[in-house]
Amino acid sequence: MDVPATSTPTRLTIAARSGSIVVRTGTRADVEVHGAKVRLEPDGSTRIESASGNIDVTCPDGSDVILGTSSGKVSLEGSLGDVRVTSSSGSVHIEKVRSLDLRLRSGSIEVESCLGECHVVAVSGRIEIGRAGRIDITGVSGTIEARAVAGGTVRTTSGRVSVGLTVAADLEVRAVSSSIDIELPPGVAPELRLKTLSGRVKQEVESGTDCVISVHTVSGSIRVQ
Amino acid sequence: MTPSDGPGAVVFTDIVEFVRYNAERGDDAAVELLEQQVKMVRDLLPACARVVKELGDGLMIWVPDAPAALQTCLALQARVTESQLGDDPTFVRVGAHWGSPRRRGDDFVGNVVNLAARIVDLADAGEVLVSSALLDAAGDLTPLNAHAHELGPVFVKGVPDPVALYRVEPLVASAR
Repeated sequence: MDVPATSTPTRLTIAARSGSIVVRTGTRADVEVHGAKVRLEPDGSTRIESASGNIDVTCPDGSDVILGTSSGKVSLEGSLGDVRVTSSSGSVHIEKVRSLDLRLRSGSIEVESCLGECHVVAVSGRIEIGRAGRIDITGVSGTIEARAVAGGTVRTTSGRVSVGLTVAADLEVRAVSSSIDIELPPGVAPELRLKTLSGRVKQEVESGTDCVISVHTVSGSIRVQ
Repeated sequence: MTPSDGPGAVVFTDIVEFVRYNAERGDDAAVELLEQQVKMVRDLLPACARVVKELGDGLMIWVPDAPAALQTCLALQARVTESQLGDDPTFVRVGAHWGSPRRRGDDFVGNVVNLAARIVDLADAGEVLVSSALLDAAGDLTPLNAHAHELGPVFVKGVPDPVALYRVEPLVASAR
């Protein structure tokens, strides 16, 4: 189903209990939806609803997406605006967004690029962030890898944590039983507050005042390089 | 049939990273942290409200007034941030829903309670997450100097239709 062209970019609200959801962007002014009911809201946004089955949506570049699902695979392809996703289980793959608020109980998360704040709350499963602004990640179990980010906070219970900073920015990591690796850009000299009750601490950078790196884990090694 | 007290807000709180705090600081410090949380909440509760029960590192609270419930949730987060429970940065998550649960002795049961418990599970450290039912009952947030940020349609186990959830924040902190 095609929704008539609106001023671009637009805002989509998607509610789908189960099934895979693919949202892709393009240089177009309208919204095209397959596999779900669509209605235009008075505020100009588009609401897409489905009980089950696969949904395929194409929308303008930069559109904001608010998506809620119970289970199934979510894939957001292309360049989106502010995105919020809530899901109970399943994998979530996101290519490029302006900002992100993602909450997933179980399943894997892969975010390639988030220009601004990247907020993730997950219970179990792997969390993989490519490039992002400030991160705010709360996990419970599962590997957390944030490769190129501008500081932030990571809290988790178990699972390896790996964070790479692109700039001298404050970073706080708190865990119970995790090995934690922090990689800084060359030349950055941080104030280091590293604490583990049973594990090795390996500091391979000079201390300084460029930013504060605070890492606490109960058991597990800490490495800052 | 068990009685209902009429509509009210069921609020759940939960101390974030309590397991880590307990492991690092030991049992005595953990007990002290729990006692600080209970005292802090009791000090903030309006006269009409009460702590229903303690649930491990969390609390279940009943507030039969929607604006007062939101105000209490926000005040709790502000107080935790100000005072810091314990001597380590500590955060609390809060989730709340509005409805008429059934009373069972001093306890409450029913779908309203179940949904409120699901909501707190979705909240992050320092957040207040609430249902649209509570927001609707509260009305205008201006007197609370607060702002509601839509999280979207959320599917909750055991509830057939998606539930609209909102993060409620003081206006000064609504940039996220």
